[in-house]
Amino acid sequence: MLTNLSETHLEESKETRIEELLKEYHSKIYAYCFNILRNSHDAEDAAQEVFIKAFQSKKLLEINNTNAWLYRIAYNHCLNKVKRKSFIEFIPFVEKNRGQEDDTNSDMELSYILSKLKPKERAMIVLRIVEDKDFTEIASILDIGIPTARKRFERIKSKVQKILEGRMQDEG
Amino acid sequence: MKDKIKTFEEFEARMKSQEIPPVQRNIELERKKIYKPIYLRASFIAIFLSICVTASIATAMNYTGWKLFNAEGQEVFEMKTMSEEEEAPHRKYDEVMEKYRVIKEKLSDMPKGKFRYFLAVDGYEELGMYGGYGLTMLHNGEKIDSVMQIPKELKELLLLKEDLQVPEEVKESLYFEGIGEDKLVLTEGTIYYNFPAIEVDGLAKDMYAEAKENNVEYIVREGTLTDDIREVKLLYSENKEGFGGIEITLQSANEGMSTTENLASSTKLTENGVDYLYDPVFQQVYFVIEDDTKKFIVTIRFTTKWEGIVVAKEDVLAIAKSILK
Repeated sequence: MLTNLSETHLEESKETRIEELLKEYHSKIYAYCFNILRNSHDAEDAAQEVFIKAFQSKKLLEINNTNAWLYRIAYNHCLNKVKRKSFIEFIPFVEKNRGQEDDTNSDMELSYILSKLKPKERAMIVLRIVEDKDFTEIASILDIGIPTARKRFERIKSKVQKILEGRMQDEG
Repeated sequence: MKDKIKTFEEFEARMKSQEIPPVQRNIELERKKIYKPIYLRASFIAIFLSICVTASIATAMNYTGWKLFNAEGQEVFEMKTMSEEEEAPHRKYDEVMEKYRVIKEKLSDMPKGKFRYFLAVDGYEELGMYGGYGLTMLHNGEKIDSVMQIPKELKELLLLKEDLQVPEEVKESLYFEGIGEDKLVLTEGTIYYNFPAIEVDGLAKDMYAEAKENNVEYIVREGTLTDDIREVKLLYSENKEGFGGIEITLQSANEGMSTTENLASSTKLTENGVDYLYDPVFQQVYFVIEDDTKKFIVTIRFTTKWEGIVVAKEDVLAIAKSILK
């Protein structure tokens, strides 16, 4: 195990490694954070903080599945951010924003549906639909079992369908 | 206006085709740099300087540094900034060793109490011009999860507890938007032990000769760590998943330490007979604790630096004073 390695030049290795990860994953992690937080400014902050956290981690040089590891840090970090901010302040895609230019290029329809989902649910949607990850990888990122990941996605899918149906009924 | 989404399949398609706003700002690597402990560890310096003593003396007149005194007015520690000449072998070492990064990582998996000497042929040859050998000790710390695991004779030098009270004025510096717990808990502790005394010159030459004879790029030898504690590192955070926190490091000290850090912006303060050196760049404070037989340089550092928030020296000092006996 590399954990606790205190050899002086570890920091240099970590710096090189984090530069590589930044090049490879920054835009992906930013997009992931954006889809959970639905705010580009917060997503930029979050993505940056995710990489700082990765850099701080003693696991940086020993981790095998870097992809899952970074997504897991991002997931936890975004959820923590959500906890620390009020929902209304943090997710500016309620109806009152209609007509205003927003982060999602005015796709208010999509924003509306996502606003009805919890951040955890949005994270699952992004991993499965946008990132096209299989349930094994999703389970690894979310630190849950594969069957649980599959069930959770199916539940969210049903929820989205209900949101759509409810909306159509409301609109007559 | 985009079409109404009527089915989950349409929702999927819209998710996939949505435009993510471009990143407006480049990631600020500056923040990341904050975490790089640019001072060079005492053990490494000890090995290097022991063989670079001529160069050190030659440049000693040019250093910028600070002296810390005890309550009796005796000098107990000196921190000095390395000259470019002094830094050169360290920079060269980093440059040469980069290609061995993965190898060294693999070699770092070793049993408790053991360490490894690592010597690369090209490192030995390139550092030879600086009077060095590029001999590296690969070692791991021993994890602890309670301050009770710190040996009594060291623990009793400070008021170390399982948690750390966060003064109200410190919260803004420590937490994003000042929202956070009043107490931090010990989330990670590590004890590092000293290496046995060796004759560096002879060992490095011997390892180099063996590498040449066997026509290999590097040589590794096993060693056993001593029972002497070289360093204790304690990280206090909100919880295991918490972001940032306060790190307290106790490093076994002799007369002083050389650093690549520019100490020009540091400030020395004296309170109740204790000299503190506050470094605003790295948001940390140094002070010395000692008894009749031991001396440690203690560093207290805020591991998170938020944009637009400067950790006041009083805030770092408040933490320092809270653990001083």
